[in-house]
Amino acid sequence: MTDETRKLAIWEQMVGAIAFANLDGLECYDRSQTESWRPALRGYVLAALETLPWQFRKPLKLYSTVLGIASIVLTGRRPASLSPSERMRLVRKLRLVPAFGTLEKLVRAMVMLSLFDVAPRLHAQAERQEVKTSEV
Amino acid sequence: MAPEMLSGQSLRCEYLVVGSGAGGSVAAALLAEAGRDVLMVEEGNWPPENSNPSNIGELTALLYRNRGVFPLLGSPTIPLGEARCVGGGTAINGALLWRTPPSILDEWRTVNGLTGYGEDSLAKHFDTVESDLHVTRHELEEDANLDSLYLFRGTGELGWKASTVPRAVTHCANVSLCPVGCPPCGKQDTTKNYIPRALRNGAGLLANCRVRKIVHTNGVARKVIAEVAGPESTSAIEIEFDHLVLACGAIQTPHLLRRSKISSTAGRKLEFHMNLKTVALFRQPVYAERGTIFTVQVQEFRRRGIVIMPSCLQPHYLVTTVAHHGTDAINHVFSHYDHAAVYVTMLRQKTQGRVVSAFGEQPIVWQRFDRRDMDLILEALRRTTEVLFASGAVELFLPIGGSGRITSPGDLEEKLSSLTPKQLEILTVHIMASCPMGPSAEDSVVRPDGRLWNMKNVFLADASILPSNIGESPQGTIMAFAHEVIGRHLAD
Repeated sequence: MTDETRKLAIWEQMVGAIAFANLDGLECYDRSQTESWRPALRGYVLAALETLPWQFRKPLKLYSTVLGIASIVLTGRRPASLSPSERMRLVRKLRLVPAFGTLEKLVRAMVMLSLFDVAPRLHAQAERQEVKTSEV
Repeated sequence: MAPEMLSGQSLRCEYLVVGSGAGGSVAAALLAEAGRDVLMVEEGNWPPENSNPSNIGELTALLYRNRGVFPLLGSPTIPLGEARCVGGGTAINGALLWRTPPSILDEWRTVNGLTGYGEDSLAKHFDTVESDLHVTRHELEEDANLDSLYLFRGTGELGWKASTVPRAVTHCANVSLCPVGCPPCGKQDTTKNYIPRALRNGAGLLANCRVRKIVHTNGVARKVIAEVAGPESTSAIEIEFDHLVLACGAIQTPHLLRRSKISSTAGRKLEFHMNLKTVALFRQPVYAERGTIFTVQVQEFRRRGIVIMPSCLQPHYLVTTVAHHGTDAINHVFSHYDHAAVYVTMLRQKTQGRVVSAFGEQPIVWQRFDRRDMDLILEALRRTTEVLFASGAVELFLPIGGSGRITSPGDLEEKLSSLTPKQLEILTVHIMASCPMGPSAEDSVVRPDGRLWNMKNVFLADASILPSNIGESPQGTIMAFAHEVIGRHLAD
């Protein structure tokens, strides 16, 4: 777990875990730099949730916090520090929890929407940066 | 003008038009052309110029309310894609421009008692709108929109009725980007015609301006309290007017009326269309990304409230559509990307919702799934499956959570035998009939001339005034109604 991840609130970690659980195993995008894209994808999802009206945002944060705590109880670890297989197992269990399906659908839609935008853009930025560095 | 410069200012106009979509832009253009002093306000911003059209996530965030997330709460919760930008819904729709089906107009006359909005009365408005927006029938192509061509052939195999569609597009680049404004195309959203017409005739437009409340006394609306959002700050302003035209859409219009304590019946009922999206994999390549949206419509079951159309294909949409089937399904579909197409089955269902305005600035919409709709949904899924297999599809992924692929109609029956509403993956983009027009104040919110029953100078000109959902894309109907409402007012 990076310093940045450690600073995330428990609800943010939970949303991140749901987002990544939906990404793990996907082969439909260029995964060569997956690890560097993931924080940006999570950032996109969290930013999107922050822009929701409070009537949606607050219950959603509360619900995600409860799920995060449940995750600690179930796995003994914070959501951000789960391995991909643990994350997947956790999400599978949580699918039995009422209203989790709606949250997962929301997070998944955001991840998928950004997957083909954020990732290629970051990749392009990184390439530009590399070119600049080599020119210097 | 920077929002801080507007802070605390009081503006004044003869006509204030709230909303710049299909209804508001028409109203503003007609009023401005009649020499009236018009100010339009729009909650969203102008669609970005020179943006990269393939940045779908970014454009969705800019053009849609809540970045495209607006749930109609209930079981199942139904996501709504609602525009929030200059041009409103016309900026993000598929540019379909249907005339209101005659059977619907008959229903409004006989069931809802609405007279003066028959086929003949509206024909002149549709003629005008079709001419203004350069509406033409999409022609079937052999080198693009193959998903449409295959669907058309499939309906032919079954002997069903299908039609190419009328679209408000001057030229189409076939890049499958209608839902994010389609910058490379000549889609005739209202920023291309009615809004410039209004501006040319002296109207003003204030973007990023959200009206929070209407101030009224003795049955007359006097002013609105609004806020203008800038990059870093928000400024409160007041706008006084003689007449107010509300066209903020079928959720925001009743919300504003309720928050302003003008109407408690507004938004008590709200209708919409259910969209069911199916992913089809064909034996032969489809290259559906080289095409656009809704170019063919299966109309065999239109009277029963079912139409079937091809939708956009982009990786974002494909993966979102198939995601509820799981990772393996996504990988499978993506490994056959060139063979994949997405189809929409649109329903005119009975399920209704209501707008709740008691919890803060933004409305909440609840919908209660009407069990009678299950029969319609089952029929829609059967018909969709039938026509897609007849069109050459070899695998289908239906909008039933986790149901996996089906490869024959027999598979479908197995899935349908235990189907519950909760399993359905429904979405919507058409909301209407939340402030229906009608002949009496008891069961309608606006008079047949578009004015609120209890306000002398407040007109409604958006999808909210339609008496019911129409089973078709409502842009043409909204524009025709706006022409009629403003035409009657100017003639008075």
